[in-house]
Amino acid sequence: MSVPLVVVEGPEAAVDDARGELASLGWRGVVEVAVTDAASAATAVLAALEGRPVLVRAAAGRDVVDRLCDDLRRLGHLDHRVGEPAGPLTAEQHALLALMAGGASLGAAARALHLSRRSADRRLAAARAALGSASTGAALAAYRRRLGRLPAGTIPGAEGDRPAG
Amino acid sequence: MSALVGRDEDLAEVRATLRQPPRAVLLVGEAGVGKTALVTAALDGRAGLPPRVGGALATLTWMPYLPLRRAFPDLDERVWAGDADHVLADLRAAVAAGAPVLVEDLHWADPATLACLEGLVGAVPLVMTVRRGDAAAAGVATRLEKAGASRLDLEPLGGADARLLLDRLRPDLVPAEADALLHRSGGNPLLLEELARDGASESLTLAVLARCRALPEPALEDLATLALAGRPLPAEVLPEIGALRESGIVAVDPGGLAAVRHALIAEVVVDLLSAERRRRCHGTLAGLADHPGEAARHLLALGDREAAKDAALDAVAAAPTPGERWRHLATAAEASDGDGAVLLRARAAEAACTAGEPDEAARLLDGLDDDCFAGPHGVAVAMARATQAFQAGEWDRYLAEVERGREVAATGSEGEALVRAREATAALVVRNDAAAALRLAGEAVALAEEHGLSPAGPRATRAGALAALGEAGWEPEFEAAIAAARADGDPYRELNARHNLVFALTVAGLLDRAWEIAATQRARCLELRLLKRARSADISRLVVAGCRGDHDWVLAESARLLAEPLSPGDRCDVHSVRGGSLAQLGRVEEALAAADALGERASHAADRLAVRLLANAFAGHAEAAREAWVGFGDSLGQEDVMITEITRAMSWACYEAGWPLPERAPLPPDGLVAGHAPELDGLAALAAGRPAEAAQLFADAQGRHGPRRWEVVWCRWAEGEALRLAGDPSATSVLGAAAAAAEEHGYAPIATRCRRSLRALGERPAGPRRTGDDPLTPRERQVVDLVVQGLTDADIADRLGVARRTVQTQLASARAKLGAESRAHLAALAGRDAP
Repeated sequence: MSVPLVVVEGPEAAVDDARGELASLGWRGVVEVAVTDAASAATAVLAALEGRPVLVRAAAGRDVVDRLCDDLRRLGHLDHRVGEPAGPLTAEQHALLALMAGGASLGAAARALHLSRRSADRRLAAARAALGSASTGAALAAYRRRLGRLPAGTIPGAEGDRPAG
Repeated sequence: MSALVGRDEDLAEVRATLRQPPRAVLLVGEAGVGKTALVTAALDGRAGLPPRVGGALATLTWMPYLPLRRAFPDLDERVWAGDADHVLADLRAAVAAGAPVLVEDLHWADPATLACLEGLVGAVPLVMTVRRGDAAAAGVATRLEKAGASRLDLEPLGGADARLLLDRLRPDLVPAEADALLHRSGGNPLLLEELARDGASESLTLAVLARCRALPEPALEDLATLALAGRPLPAEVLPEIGALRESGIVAVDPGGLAAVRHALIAEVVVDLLSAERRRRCHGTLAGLADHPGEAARHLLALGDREAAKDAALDAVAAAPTPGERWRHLATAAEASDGDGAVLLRARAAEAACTAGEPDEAARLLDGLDDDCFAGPHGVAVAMARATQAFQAGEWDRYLAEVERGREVAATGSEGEALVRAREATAALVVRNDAAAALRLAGEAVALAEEHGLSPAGPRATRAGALAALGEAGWEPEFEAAIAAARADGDPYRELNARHNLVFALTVAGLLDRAWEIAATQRARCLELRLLKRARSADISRLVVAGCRGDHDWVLAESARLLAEPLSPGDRCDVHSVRGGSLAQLGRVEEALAAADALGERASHAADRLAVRLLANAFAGHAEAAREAWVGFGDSLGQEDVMITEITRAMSWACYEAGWPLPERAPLPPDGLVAGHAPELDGLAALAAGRPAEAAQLFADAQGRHGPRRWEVVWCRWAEGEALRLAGDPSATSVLGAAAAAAEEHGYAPIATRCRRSLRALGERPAGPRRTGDDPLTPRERQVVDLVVQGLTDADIADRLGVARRTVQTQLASARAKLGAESRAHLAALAGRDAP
């Protein structure tokens, strides 16, 4: 089973985005590490060695990040994101799109998230804008493509958290 | 991880080594070459215990025994606290069970681990991997070999294996795209997979750079030189070739030529060179260059413009082919200033057009501002721009550029002669006014002779005008133009003239002769090393084959051509012919897709409508055909042959729908469309309720359609149908013959009509074949796939050229079949099957 290991070299928004994607794929207990030097890089690698999903915000020198990526590629499914994300989504937007990508209607998704139809509508419009999609269908397609980069986790609530090492 | 491709021999070798004492293998290879995949496969195939897997990590090189700890997570913590002998003794005890041990990335291993591994050789089946090119790799490898491990060097995949792997990853690529990817990856499976999935992503670029950074500085300089050279260099000119080979980044062939193994690495290196290093390397390369053109390029990059220009002009003089000429002219232009640079640029652009590279020509001309029209080379620039517009198929711009040339050229000057020749071309090709073209071409020939210029261009135009007017003597005039162009060493006009000759022969219905001249053209293009022009000769042959009704050949040949890197105009031409053939074969969806592939390109707007019309008309979709027919509007009357063809198809569609027949222009009595007049007369007679007369006319049309097999078979059916309506007993045999011919050649629309007519006679012909086990019809599947891609109904309707309402009906039906509750659910269901 391949564990997601995400390294972000970009703005905070890109980290938020990755966090949202991991959550909507069902990953719990994700270890977040801000890597600024060799020592924090080692922390991230040790967490990956324990089999835990890792989300790294990389702000160290090139050598350190190169070595880190080299290691993570060996320990799981490395998703290395460089630069601005195509359009970062908030965690709330992720939750909505995740339900709709599973086939739920907007009304059903709104009920599941305890939202009014109006708020769900607004949230969906914001997600469409972030993804640069003209229609909801296009936004869901873009969303599925994005999630396709990462392995799926457990279904929330079905098996509880992933084992933590 | 994809399945192991192309590693059968390596796999057998690893397995054999693991059977022979001391059963230890050391795999050495560059990053991403597939070491892990190989050993995993080798150990998987062994009966018995699953392997213990460990390995070093770059970030944790300081942790004692980490690579082994990972392989033996079950051992007590205290084991690793003991002294070296103690650890080894415990490990020997632990491996007594016999499970093989795999320890990876030993270039990062700590000394204690390496010492321990030396002691484990012989005690247990042991596989170790080392990454080539890392600073510590060579030392570690030597040490483990001494301890008794057999070294196996893993090389990147060979061409055929890499292609096989890529084919699994991306079966959708056309061969040209696949070639480019394979070249960039150099057969490295990891690079190939990443490139195939995401292209050259930032992440991949960084990984590649990390590999280069591991090189010592002098080796990096040699790598930069080699990458900038853009071609292999003799190994002896690179002092650090040893280190580069060891790293696996550079390979040396048996002839002693060194090349960067993965083109992607060369690209990344070239992109990221510092200005200072770039200059230094260009200096080195200018000294090494053995061709003036190459020296010019490096001298220019160095900033030595004078020397660069001289070298480039030497190269122009020596260049044997147009393809080389334009590049050297472009370098010379870049190395020059003022009016000289303007003229060189215009010449380079003309040469690029000769080489069939209108996009390159556009780039060259974009660098010139409008001030240059006031200078001494204004006409040359305007003419180069006109040539470029012509090649790119942008007729409006062609007219504008010729007009600009006319404003700039002084009366009685050489420029006037050049402009007049283009005006003749404009009249013939763009304005479709052959009479004016004939007059202008005559004037241009006289002006050219007056100024001692080559008359080849205007003579070819005159020939084309004569042919269009149906006047005698066009063929010898073409031959004369071709001979004149050859004598003047002007391949552009020579090839254009012969191309137009092929076209004129085709229009005249002399298809065999057209085929033959197209073959000559193809050979001549190859001789001049003009691949793109050779393709346009291929397209001429495609047109001829389409006219002959050799649709199977057209489909095979067009598929071959579409896999090549064609220019946009050529690609459209191929789609257009292919669309016509598909329409005549009754493959409506594919024909419409071919029409869509023509996009919004202005020069192919009429083709797009024509293919749509033909496909719909032959399929009996009269409404859709009429939509395309109306769309023609003002483009009617521009292309005689095309208009004749679509009028014919539309007339049949109207007849079958019970509508009045469309008006028709007078038809030429001979040439390619000679059969159309009697055929349409027959149709008019049929519509007027005079079937006996119609049958006569259709019989006559079959003779006059001559080499056009599809049209002949169609008229055979039409004759049979008319005979049937006239109550003539010979109808059955005529229809039977038509049905047999239609079936034989796969002319489905004709076969359908024959069956219908025979049924009306009480005959029971064989039905069409049906295939497929998808619950969805192909069209429904197509629509659903587009929904998964996120298109709206309107987008889909647009893409498939059907009404929005139709799309909604098909979606509703697909939803019912798949049991989807909503559109999103449908996309989710269908998206799950998608790759």
